[in-house]
Amino acid sequence: MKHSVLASAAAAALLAAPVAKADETAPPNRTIGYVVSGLYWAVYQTADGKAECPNGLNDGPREHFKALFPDNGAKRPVAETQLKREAAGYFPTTTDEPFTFQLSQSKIAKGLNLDGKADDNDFVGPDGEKGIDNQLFRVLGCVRGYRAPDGDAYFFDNNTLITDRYDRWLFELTDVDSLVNDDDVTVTTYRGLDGLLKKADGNGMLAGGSQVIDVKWGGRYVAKIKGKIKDGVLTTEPTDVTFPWATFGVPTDREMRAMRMQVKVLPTGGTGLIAGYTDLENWYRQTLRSSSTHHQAYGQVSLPSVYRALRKAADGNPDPKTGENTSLSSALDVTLTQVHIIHPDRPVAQAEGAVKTAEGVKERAGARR
Amino acid sequence: MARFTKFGIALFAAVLAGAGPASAADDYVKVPVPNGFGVQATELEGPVFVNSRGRTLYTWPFARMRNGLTGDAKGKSNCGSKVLTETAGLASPWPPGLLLPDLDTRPACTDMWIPELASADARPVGAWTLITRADGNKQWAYNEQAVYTSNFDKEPGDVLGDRGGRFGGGGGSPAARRPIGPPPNVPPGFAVRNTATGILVTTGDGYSLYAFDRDTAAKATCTGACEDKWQPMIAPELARPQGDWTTVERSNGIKQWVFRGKPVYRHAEDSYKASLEGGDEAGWQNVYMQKAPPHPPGLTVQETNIGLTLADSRGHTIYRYNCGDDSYDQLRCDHPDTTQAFRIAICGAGSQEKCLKTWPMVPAPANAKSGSRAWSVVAIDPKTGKYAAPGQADAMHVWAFRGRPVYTYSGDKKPGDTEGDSFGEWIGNRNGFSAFFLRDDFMNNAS
Repeated sequence: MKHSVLASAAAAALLAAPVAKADETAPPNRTIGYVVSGLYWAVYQTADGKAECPNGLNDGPREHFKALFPDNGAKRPVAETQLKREAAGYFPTTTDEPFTFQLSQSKIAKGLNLDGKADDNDFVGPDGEKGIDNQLFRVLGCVRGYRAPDGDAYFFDNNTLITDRYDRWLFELTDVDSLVNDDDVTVTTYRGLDGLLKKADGNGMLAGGSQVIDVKWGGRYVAKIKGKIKDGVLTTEPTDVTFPWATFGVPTDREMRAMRMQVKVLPTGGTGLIAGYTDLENWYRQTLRSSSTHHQAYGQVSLPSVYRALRKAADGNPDPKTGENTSLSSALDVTLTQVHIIHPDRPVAQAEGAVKTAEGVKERAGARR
Repeated sequence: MARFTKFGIALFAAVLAGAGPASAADDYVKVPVPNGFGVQATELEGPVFVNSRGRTLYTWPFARMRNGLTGDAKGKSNCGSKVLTETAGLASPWPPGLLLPDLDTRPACTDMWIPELASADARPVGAWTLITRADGNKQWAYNEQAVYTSNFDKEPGDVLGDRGGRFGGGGGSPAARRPIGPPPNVPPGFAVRNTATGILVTTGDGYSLYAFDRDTAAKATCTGACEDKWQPMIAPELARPQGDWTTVERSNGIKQWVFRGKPVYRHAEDSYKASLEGGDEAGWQNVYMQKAPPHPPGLTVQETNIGLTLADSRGHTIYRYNCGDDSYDQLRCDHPDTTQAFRIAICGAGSQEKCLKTWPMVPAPANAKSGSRAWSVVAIDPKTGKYAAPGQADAMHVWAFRGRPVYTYSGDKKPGDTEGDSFGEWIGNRNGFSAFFLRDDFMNNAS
C-alpha cells in the first residue's frame, strides 16, 4: 500500500537522521562562548593561615638581602650583593640557600585528581574528595604574593588579565545539546581581541559581549578538546594547552600539560577549576620575566627560593633522560563570562603547527607518575 | 631555517624601502636657536638640535623613581663633576650605599653628559634660556631643561647617548636622557610618534594615519562605504598648504588633508594607538614622517604572539641590552665603553664566558656593511665585552644597533620565540634584555 510505504520510508528516515537531543538549556546554534574573566593560582587558605603555614609565611627578596648582608656599616660592592641576588633569579640552582622555605602544611587543597590515584603526597579537596594533586599549591601556599586578597601576584596577574587584550583566553563550546547534561561537547580555545564589559559597580563582568578571534598572532593558543557536561558541570579530557597570561606588558605564555576543566557552566558564565601539570621552567621563567624584584618584594616572593621548592615538589612529566620531573600538578580558580565569539573570515594562522588535541597527551600519559 | 611570513615580508620590504625622509627640510617647524646651533636630520629620531660642532643635544627631565627623584628640575642641572661611588637606592627594593663597579675608571656625570655651556654674552632666544651651574658657568637650557651633549656621540648625526626604553624613563627604569628637536611640521590636530619602524604620522590623540595606493594629490578615491572603515582626515575650510601638507576637495567644499601627495585617513578598526593594523589591508599604507633605516642584510622578520620581531638568519629573535646604573647620575651601562659588570652579572651570573653562551652576540659576516648609521659592525673583545683593541686577533665582529651589540638568547628554540624578552631587572629595562619587536598589536613593545 502506497500510504504504508511512505510511512515506512518516513519512519526509516527519522531513524537514520541524527536524533535531535537539544533541550531547553541548549544554547542557540548549539554553541556558546566564554571568555576568562578571572584566573588565580588556586591557593587554599584558612582565616588565620595557621593550618597551612604554622611557621608563618616566607620571607622575600628584601628580607633575604638583609639576612645575607646585615647593615653593619660594611661597604659592599653592588656586584657582590644586589647584582648577585638578581642573577640568582636568572640562573637558579638547586643548591640550598641559608633560608628555610615554608611549604604549605595544609591537608586540604583545591584542585583535581589528575593521576587517578590517592597517595601520601596528595591533598583532600575542600569537599572531602581524596587524591587532589596540587604540588604548586604546596610551594606557593605560604608565599604572601599568591594569597588572597592582597598578594601582589594575586592582584596584578588578574588586574592585567582584565585590562590587557593580550590575556583574552576564549573557550567556545560547540555541539552543545544541553548545558545541564551532554556527554559529548567540543571545547575549542582561542585568543580574543576585545575588551571585557565591566559591570557598572566595577565588580565582575557583564555577559553578552563579543570577542573576535585573533587569527593573526593567536595560532599557538588554539586547542580542540572533547568534553562533557554533567549536572551543569563541564569536564574536559586532558589536553596540553598554551594560554596567554601576561603581566606588566611582557608577552608571556603559560604552558599546562594535560589540562582539564571542571567548571559549572551557565548561560551567563561559569566558575570552577582549570587543572593540569604546569611546566616548571615555563612557570618560573614567565613569572620572573613578568615582574621585577621590586614587585616580588611586595609579595615576599623570593624566586630563587621558590625555584628550589618547585624542583623538589615537581611531580609530573619526568624527563626521559634524567627521570627528573619537569612539571607540577596545579590548579587555577577560573571565572568565565559568556561572550559571542566572532570568527573572522579566515582561519587562525597555525604558527605552532597542528591544533593541540588530547591525543598527544595520551601518548605520554604512561610516563607520568 | 629562517621563516619569512607574509606579514614579515611585507613589513621587511616596507622598512627596506623607507630609507629616509622625502623632504627632511619640511619635516619640522623652524624655530629660533642660539647662534651656532642648528638642526640635524637623523635616521631614528628625525630632526634634532645640534650644537656648533654638530653634536646632538639632550635634556634629562626630572624622573620619579621607585624610591625618590632624580634628573634635572627645570632651571637647574643635577649632573655634576663629582664621581659618585655608591648606589642611590632608587631602584627598589635594593638599599642605597652599595659600591658601584669599576670605581677606578668610573666617570662623573659631566664626563658622560657634557653641559652645553654658553658664552658670557649669550642671551636667551625663543625657548632657549640660560641657567647657572654650581660652578658659576652658564649652561643652555631648552624649555627650561639643562642641555647636554653625549660622550657616546662622535659624529654629527649620532644619537647614541640614550634611548628611553619601551616604558620611558622613571619608575624602575633609568631616568632617561632624551634628544631634543624642533616640533614636527604637522597641521593642528596631528602628531608624530617614534616607533621601531619609523616616525609615524598620527592624529593628535595618537591614532595612525593611512594612505591609499589609488589616491593622488588631486583625487581621494575612498568614498561611500569605504569611508565607514577609512575616515578621511577633514581639513578646515581655511586650511592652507604647510610644508608637505596640502588639501584636496572631496566634494563640494569638503577638504581632506594630503601628506606628500596622498590624502590621509584613519582606520576605524585600529585597536590601539600608533597601530600598523590598517596596513594589512591591500592597498593601504601607514603614513610615516620617515621610516626606520634598513636592517642589516641577512637579518629576518618573524611572527610572534604579539606581532613581529627582528631575527637573525636562523629566525632567532634579536635582543637589545638595556642598562642604567642606580646612582643619582643614572649613567648608562649598556655600551661597550662603559662598565660591563652589570651586563656580565645578568647575562652570565658574573661569568663573561657564560654570557657568550647564554646571550651570544649576533655575528656579522666578513666585510658586512649595514647600509645605515644606526646599524654597524663593531669589534668586541670576547674576554671583556668591551670594544676590542685595533687589530685584536681574537676580536668578535658583531652587529650593533646604536653602537651597542645585539644578541640572541640560547633559550629561544625556534623562530618566533621571545623567551629572552624582559630577561633582567625591571622587565629588562634597568639591567636586562628586550626583544627587538617591530610590531606589537597588544602591549606597545615596538616603540
